[in-house]
Amino acid sequence: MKPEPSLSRAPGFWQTVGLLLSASRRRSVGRRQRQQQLLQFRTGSSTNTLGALGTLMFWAGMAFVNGSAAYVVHLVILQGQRIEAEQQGKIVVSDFFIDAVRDVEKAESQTDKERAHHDLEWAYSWEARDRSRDFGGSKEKNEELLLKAVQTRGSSGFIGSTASQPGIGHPATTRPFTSMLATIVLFGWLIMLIFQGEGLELDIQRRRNPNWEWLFSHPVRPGAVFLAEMLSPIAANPIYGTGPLFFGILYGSAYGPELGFVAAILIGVPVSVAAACVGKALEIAIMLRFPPHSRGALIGLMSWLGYTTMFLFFVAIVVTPIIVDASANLLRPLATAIPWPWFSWTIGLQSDGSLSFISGMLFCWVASIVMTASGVGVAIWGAQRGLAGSSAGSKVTSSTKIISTIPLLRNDPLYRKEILWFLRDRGAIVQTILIPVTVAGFQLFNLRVFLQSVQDSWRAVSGAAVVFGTYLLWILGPRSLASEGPSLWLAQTWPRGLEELMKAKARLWFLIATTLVLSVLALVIVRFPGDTWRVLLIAVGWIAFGRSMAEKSVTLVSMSSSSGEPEPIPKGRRYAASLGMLTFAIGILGQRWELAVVGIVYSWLTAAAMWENFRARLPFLFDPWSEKVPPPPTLMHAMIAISVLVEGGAVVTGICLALFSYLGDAAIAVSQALAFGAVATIVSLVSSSMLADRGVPAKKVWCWKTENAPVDSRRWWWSGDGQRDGYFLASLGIGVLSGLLFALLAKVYLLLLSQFGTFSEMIRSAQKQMESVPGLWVSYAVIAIVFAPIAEEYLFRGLLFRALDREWGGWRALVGSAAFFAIYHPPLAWLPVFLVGLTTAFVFKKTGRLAAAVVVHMVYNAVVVLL
Amino acid sequence: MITEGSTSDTHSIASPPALVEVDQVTKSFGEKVALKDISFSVPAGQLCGLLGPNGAGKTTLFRLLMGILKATQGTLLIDRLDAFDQRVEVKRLVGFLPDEPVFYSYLSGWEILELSAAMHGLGVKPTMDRIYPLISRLRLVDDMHNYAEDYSRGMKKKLGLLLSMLHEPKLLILDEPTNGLDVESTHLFYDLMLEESHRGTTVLFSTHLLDQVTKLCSHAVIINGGKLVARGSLNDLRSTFNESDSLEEIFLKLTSKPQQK
Repeated sequence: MKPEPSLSRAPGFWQTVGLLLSASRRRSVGRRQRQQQLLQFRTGSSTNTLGALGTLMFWAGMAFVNGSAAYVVHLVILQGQRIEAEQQGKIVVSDFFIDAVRDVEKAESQTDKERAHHDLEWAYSWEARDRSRDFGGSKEKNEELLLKAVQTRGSSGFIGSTASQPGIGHPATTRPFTSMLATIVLFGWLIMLIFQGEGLELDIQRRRNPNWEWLFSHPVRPGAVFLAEMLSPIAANPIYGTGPLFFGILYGSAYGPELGFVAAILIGVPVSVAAACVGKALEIAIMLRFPPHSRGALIGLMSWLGYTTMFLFFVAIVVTPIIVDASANLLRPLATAIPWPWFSWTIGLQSDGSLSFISGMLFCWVASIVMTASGVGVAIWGAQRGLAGSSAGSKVTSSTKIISTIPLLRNDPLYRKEILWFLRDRGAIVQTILIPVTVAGFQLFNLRVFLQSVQDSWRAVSGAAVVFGTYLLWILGPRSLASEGPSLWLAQTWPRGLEELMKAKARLWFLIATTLVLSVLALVIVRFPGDTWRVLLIAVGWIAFGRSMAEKSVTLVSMSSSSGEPEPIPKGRRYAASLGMLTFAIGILGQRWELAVVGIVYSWLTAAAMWENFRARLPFLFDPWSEKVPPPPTLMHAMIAISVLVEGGAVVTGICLALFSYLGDAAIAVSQALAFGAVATIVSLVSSSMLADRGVPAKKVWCWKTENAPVDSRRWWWSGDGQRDGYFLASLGIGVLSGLLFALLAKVYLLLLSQFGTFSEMIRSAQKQMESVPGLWVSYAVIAIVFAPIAEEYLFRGLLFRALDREWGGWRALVGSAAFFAIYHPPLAWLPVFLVGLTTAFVFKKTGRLAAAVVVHMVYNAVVVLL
Repeated sequence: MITEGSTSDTHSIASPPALVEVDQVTKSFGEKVALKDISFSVPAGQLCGLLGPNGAGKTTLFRLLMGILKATQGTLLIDRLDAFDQRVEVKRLVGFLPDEPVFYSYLSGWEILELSAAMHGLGVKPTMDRIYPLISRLRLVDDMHNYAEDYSRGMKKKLGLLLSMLHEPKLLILDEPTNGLDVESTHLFYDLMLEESHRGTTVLFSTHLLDQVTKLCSHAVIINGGKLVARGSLNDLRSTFNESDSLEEIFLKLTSKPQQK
């Protein structure tokens, strides 16, 4: 029937897709504009350079992942070809080795023979080392193997690597074993791309897109709507944007760089798009077909798969040769049983060994179209039972029996609710256990150097448990509001502040993680009773660290917008939350207690800093327009200033070392002292002026109490309360006395240390350095006595301790700031430095003047240096 | 156009001090001004209706009262406590029913009630005993064992009302309470609101249904486009305008917008 001319025509398939995609693009533009508006409103600047840097690094990381995948394909092909060559009974060695063997055989004169033998000796050792690195086994065993082969078969027993491992573009790739390995890796890459979804931020409470009902009330084809929905992750997740790199590298190594570049665009893009479509289609189908309680679990499993394959590629870069070698015998029958032509087809490798770009491209296009179409088909299949899916009312599982047995859970209603959620949402278990296991496993792989040096397996196991617990908290923390979701309104009707709720959740996550970690540690003690006290130390370390980790990660929560989209966590905040994790993990795994302590102190201070900012943010979760940053100087400011000091000091030390290298050994101590002295002064001056710009005059930092005092700029700003109250000189006197007292203690400490052989050596060599160059020693003394105390007291006491006292208060603030001060010095000096830090903070607080604290520090340094 | 009827009304009768005092409250989100210079007060024990066209700012006003948002200017006092700075104490006195209540995914109706009771610091068992007659009156008893997220819209509203009354608050803030309820439940809600008011609870609710206001309320506050348009007792409103006009006609006159081209 001809449509009436006045009736509008429903948009066609591609028109619909185009409309929805442009709407999606406008949405993200709108979101970015809104964020900029908020930023402008709150801080006065509309650029977020740190955020941009974070995004850049993320893209770089994803590009690296895709590149690594291509590299793994390359590795796997080389290994496959090597094994196929060795099937013929020859050992694959480097060309260098074969040439050396052949030289021995060809040598005629005596001198030539001797030289050839000499070269061969070298060749043995190099080759054996390479073999043991790539394939395992000890160097000696490999040498024996090579020796025997040379003696029995001479050079014909070997085949050079270039001859046997021609690489991708060679017909050798079509042999079954190689082909199978390459296909497996190719599928692995596809799986990684398919299951990545919108990114690694997993959303536990997956709700159906509420817009679908509205969209489907229009006369549009469901396939078009789903296709547009499928194409949306591509913009969100840079792994799709960098996906073409995989194809670029593969084709580049087969056909040369120009064609590789063409391939990246012509082939890589359609395949990446198709993979994104398939992944989203699976997700859509799951949302439509499965009841809500299983949805989260399935989608969580999918995301976890995408996550894990990504990590596996990193791991594979290192372990591929070993794994292929070890499993060759198992896998070979599989290679011949089923055909594995996929990789050859993808790259256009014909069975006769020639390469055809066109056929590779055509195959990939066909594959992409098939994948996309089947994705759309799967989504439509999912919608066939209607948008409501087949969920309907599910029966309430009675998990109350478990809960009533644990008294803690029975009595605290909040814990009860969280545990009920945990038990009933199958997705929660998947995501909160599987992800940390994977991430922790990956981290342990990264730290395998430390694991290798660990002789006892109990250390490895306890270390692994601690790392796992850390990552569990890192994942759980930001989920603290996710279990509330839009039901947060109910929590806001209770007479309990949100802060109390968040702290309760932090405690709960910590309890859960600690239960897991301590049970593992208990098992370790049972198995290795001799090392009980060491394991107990690790347990103590975990409890100290884990609590701070829980507090930190809880501050990462963000509210979802009213349409249900979760707000992304700013990368800077995530980074801050992870400060101390690596140091602590290395400390525990490598049994370097001083590193563990550094990690713990750093983590706690970061937790305090993040909570200070979080507390200012929390009442405005729903009202970001009213949010104001906490007034400077905050803990975060202090920690940033100190970090700049440390990093800057390290850089300047390096420069000084280069400049003063003619001094020899003395250069190190001198450069360090000069560098840190100079940088500390600069940093404190800059901080002071920056704070003054933001309305914090110097007096506020140098005096403890200025709230009640009238601000009179003509007053001498060193006087505590802004008034000459006659106590000024007395406070300075107190400073001098305390300084002398602690300097005495420090001398006693040094005397004690010098009784121990190693320490006395160090002290004596340090003293010799000092005496070798008198001129520089004077400047060192000046810096240590005059500049460093002022700067250090300004940063560590004026900024850090003040802010910490506001946050923690009491003895905790004293100990915390002193500990933070101590960890910036070598471990031997920790005790005296810690005591000095305690003293200066105490003096500052009690006399109300930072000047007094400076005097303490000056006197202490003077006595230690001069006497 | 503000009618000053309310102030003379409250002063002429010896009435208890106002439970809710909103004083020159302005709320803006960036450049968008949601509420401008709103002032009114609600005496204790009153049933007061908050009227306004869509987008007038009723929900924003409720969120300000609940301490979810912070007023850009002005103060809101509930029983002389600041609504934002002392919001934790305020919660003991206030029960809130949002427009579209959403509940936790994995808890049954009973479990949500018990959780809320415990979080208010009430003993679970006595509270459940006390609230049981109300549950049966609302005909929810059979459904309380099921997951709350599977409830129909009306059932969710009823559960929300139960939650708001759990701790016997002095002030009930209800955002469009009968929106989406069937006729029987709507009348039930009316009865409950009147009973609460007779018991001395102050009830402040927003609605579009003006006959509801005529039936239930003694006072009304009308806002339009973020500005206060009228406040006072219904009698005063009628006396200011044409006596024979129904509340609906008065409302339309007060909130008419210029014709859009």
